[in-house]
Amino acid sequence: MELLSPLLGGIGLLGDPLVWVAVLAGTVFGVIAGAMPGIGTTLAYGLVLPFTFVMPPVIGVAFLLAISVGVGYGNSIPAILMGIPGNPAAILTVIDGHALHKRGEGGVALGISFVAALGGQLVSIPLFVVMVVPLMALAYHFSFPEIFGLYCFGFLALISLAADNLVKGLMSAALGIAIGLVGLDPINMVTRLDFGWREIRSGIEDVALVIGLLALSELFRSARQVFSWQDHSGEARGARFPAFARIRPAIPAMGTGTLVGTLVGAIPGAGATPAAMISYQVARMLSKQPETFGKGSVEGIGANEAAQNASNSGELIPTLGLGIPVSGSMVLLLAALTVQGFVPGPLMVTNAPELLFAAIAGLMAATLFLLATGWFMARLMLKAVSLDRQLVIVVAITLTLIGVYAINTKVLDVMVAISAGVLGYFMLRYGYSAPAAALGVFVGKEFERSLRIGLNMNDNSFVEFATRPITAAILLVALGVLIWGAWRRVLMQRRLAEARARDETQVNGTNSQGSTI
Amino acid sequence: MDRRIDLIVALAMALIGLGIIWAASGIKSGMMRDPIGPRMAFYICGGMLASGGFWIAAGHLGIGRKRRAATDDGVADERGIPASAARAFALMAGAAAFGLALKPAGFLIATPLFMAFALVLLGKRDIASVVFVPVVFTVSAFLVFSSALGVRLPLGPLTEPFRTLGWVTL
Repeated sequence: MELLSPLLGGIGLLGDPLVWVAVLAGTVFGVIAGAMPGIGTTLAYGLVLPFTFVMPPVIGVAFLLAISVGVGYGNSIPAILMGIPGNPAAILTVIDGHALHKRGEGGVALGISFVAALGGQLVSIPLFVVMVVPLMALAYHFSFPEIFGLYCFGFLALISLAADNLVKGLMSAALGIAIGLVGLDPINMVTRLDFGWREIRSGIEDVALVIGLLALSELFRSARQVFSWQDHSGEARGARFPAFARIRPAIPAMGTGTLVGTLVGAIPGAGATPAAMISYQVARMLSKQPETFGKGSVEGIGANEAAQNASNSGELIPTLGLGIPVSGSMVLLLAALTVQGFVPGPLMVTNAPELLFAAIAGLMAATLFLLATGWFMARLMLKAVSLDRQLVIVVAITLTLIGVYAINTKVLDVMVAISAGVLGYFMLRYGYSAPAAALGVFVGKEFERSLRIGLNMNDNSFVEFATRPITAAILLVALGVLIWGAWRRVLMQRRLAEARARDETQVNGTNSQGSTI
Repeated sequence: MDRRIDLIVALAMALIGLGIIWAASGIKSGMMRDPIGPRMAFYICGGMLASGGFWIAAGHLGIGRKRRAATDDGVADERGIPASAARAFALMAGAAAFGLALKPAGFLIATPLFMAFALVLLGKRDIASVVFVPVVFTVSAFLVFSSALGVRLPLGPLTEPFRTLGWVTL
């Protein structure tokens, strides 16, 4: 495939009115979901996943990616106006954006966030294409040993998603893998851990499991507390879009944020949070006014928001290019495609390039739509945070359960999702990583299958298996990324701790003035 | 984070790990042999769960070395707002009851009952929230899933009346 083909294919799809309907619906839903504190891309995907089962795959992919774009933009609204990060990646937006808002410059913060989010998203699309096309070209050289090497990358994601406690994170991944492996053995077709139960002889429904682990768990956890999302910002309603002179200093930071966000987003398990943290540090290092960072820096907001949104495109590189999901939301994206009959793997997009076109169309159309309406939507979305939180939780749980039932019209799937949700609740509460478990469900099965079939193909010799040129190269790169990731992890934890400490100091200071929650 | 519950969760994980190892030992080998076999992945996963669980438990109990500080690594509640684990557990039980009642009671009866229960549980008391929202949501969801998405939702005792009215054909 030529480099321009995916872009042209994506632009071509924009002529389909159905794509636009899906993108508009997805973007609006995404912005609303993002504006509600605590609802991130993964939970938003979990809520609408059943609807994608009846959509043509192209429409479904465009719809889901439009949601990512919407959430990426929407979550900056509560961060800036209420000082509540919708997800961990928005912590830095809280620090600088909310500081500006408290100084009466909420409009500047919202405006820079708007430009950075959409600019970062738009520029990251060609970067994504430049990286994904060469990967797809390699796909035909891949057999089971090479695919095993790729799944080693998937395992790096498991380690990276292991939250703050590595032991608990690895235990979560092990639990997810073990549950995912229940069913038929890939070589001998003997049943494994089905306990004589006919319904799970061919495995437990993956989609029900991951929806339970990622979406229901968070909803059950949210039900522990009863309170209202409130907007304490009367000023924002009259906020004006900032003049270009006010945005200009943040443009270089937005550029580095976009590049860092796309690259870091592509690393298994990295995602938006490290992308935002790293780009924030890079922007501070390059800034002429590093002392303003953490105190309402426009460069800080620009770098952070651009990186968060660019990471949407970055996450798609291994997900579509290699068929390896690198985050909770990408697990759900692949789950939606699996229900449609696609087999995740390096050949998935090579055989069905329309999925890649749909991804580009979804990202592009959602960004253009937000470009035209996003500023007005930001002001409208202030109403989303005044929705009744308790009602949202109950409707979301009910919708999720109905959606899970709709997959195979089986009550067993509903019970699997609820059980996974209960398990996920305890994992969330006690520092085990529900995303690592969900990724384990998806990655473990293929990891074992490719290793064992690959060994069979190579006379059951580990040496022959691991010394195939492409396999060896991938394994070496995976090892390098593992070492680099461990080093980055230590640095990032230090920075997160610093950021949280600053955030707490600010919130305590604000609480003492009695102006926010 | 409550250290005692963290200890119980860690021990539960360890027991699940041991259970996986025990169950995996009963997996048949099959005709084709490979150096890994059908049990190995379960042994590794079970081993990781068991050893990790016991490691965390030992840290809490101070076995083998000085008691390790409990890291507060779970997702915390919002500060300053009372939290109730009982409410979350009741909601889980309600969701499980909803799942079990879905076939015998039917979607149109089980769904509003579950929603009303969940809303009361989360502090809603007004009629509009407890009655109106569940009924409107149930009817809307039924129309969307059943008519637009073609999902065959269970009707329970309403199957016959609906069939008589010609609203369902099977």
